[in-house]
Amino acid sequence: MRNPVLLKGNNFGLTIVLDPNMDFPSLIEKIGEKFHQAKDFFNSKKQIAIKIEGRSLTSEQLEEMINVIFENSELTIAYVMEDDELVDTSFRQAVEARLHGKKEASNRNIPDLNLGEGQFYKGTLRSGQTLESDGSVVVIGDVNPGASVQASGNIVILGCAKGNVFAGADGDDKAFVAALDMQPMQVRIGKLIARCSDGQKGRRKKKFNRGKSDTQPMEAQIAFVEDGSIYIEPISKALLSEITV
Amino acid sequence: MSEVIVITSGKGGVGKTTTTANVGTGLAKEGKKVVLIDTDIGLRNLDVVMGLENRIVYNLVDVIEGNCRMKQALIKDKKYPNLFLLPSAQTRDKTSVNPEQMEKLVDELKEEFDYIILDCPAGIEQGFKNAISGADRAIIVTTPEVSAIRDADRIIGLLEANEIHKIDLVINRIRMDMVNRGDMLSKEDVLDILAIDLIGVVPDDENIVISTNQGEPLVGSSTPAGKAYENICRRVMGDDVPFMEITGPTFFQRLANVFKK
Repeated sequence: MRNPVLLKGNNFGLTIVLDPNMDFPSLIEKIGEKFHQAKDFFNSKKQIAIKIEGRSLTSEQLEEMINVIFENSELTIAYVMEDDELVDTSFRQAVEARLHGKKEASNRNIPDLNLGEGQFYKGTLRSGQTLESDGSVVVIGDVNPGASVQASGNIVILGCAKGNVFAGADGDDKAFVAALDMQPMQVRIGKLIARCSDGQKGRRKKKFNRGKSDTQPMEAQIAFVEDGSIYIEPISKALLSEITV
Repeated sequence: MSEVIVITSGKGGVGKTTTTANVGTGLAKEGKKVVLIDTDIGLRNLDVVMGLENRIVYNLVDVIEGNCRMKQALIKDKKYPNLFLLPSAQTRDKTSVNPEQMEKLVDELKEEFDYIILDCPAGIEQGFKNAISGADRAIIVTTPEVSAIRDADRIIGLLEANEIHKIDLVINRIRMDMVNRGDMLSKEDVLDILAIDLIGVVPDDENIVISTNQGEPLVGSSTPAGKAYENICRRVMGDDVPFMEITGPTFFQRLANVFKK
């Protein structure tokens, strides 16, 4: 059987670890023995603080213990700290009960509109810059090649998406990416990755012809997951109605 | 009122040093008091392009370490008495200077010069951090290549993060014949990505190679690049100069070139 009474010294005083199962009278006997043995060690007439771990004691039991310690050594107990863990859990229980009650109350008052968390970012994201968010993100500006946007929710880019965009970063493949001009290096949604096709280089070459790219109207597109693949399609009312936020 | 301009690009070999030499010389030509600082410690070039290599006694690191006075290290240009060069050290490396020291050095020069032009090394490490530490504004040099543009974009982001918001762009070495064929990015394509103010477009010009090898900046000469750099200088000073029409060699010029060979 392991030691029913354990003494641990620290900067402030003693931690006494007590066996939680032993009956109190025999435990108090053990404490007495222990301190008697350690009398030479605790020979200073110091005032110390003690902390009790492993067992919560009633105030009578505590008093009895302090008396036993006093009889068997020259130590004076100045302060008794309670077991943090026990205090912690009881605090947490109290707080949680309180919060829970509040949450229920607020739910009753306001109808749940199921609003997604979101953030706005204004400015161009340049090569090497990364925007990360725990919710959804709206970028007002371009995402240049070499830049990346990563969000646990959805991504909307009011500008060119030419870098890497990663929606549903926590694995949510219901997330989507929408952009006014969709030419990303890579789109990732949930666990899926799509990259721009190598064939697009031909398109890019055509783009070198001046004027053409300026006059072509931009078409807003949206990337989403269906049947395990990422699709990029022009935004239409029918598509939008299928989206869940 | 003096202005501190850093000339940077991220990528190497796009024409930072050439641009520094020509813009500096051009501003001096307009009567401004100019000092050029080569911050590329360990790989100094600006003195060679300016044709002042043989005059170097002390350098940037000597000034910072207090081995000499500022006046002793500044080299006066061959042609313009109001143009000076502070050369970098060849035998040291970028870590021998830190941004605070650089800032202090630039502050000291501000009292005496109208324009302080810093030639930045390639890359984004210590040398870059040193070069931009004292700058009020930046000129980014890029060529119409995707790799150079990618790096320029990164540099713009870093400059903005370091509170330098006046950033102008020089597109160097453009070839209109290739642009017209659709084989090279046009001025518009570059601006589309970088979205900053354009301060000049310099055509690809073999005279640049000649001038660099001779150590004589060609700004203000009748060559296409010389004219382009002259316009850039005037725009740096705040003049509103229209962009010149860059044309490729005409059919007859090309024909003449064939015969020259």
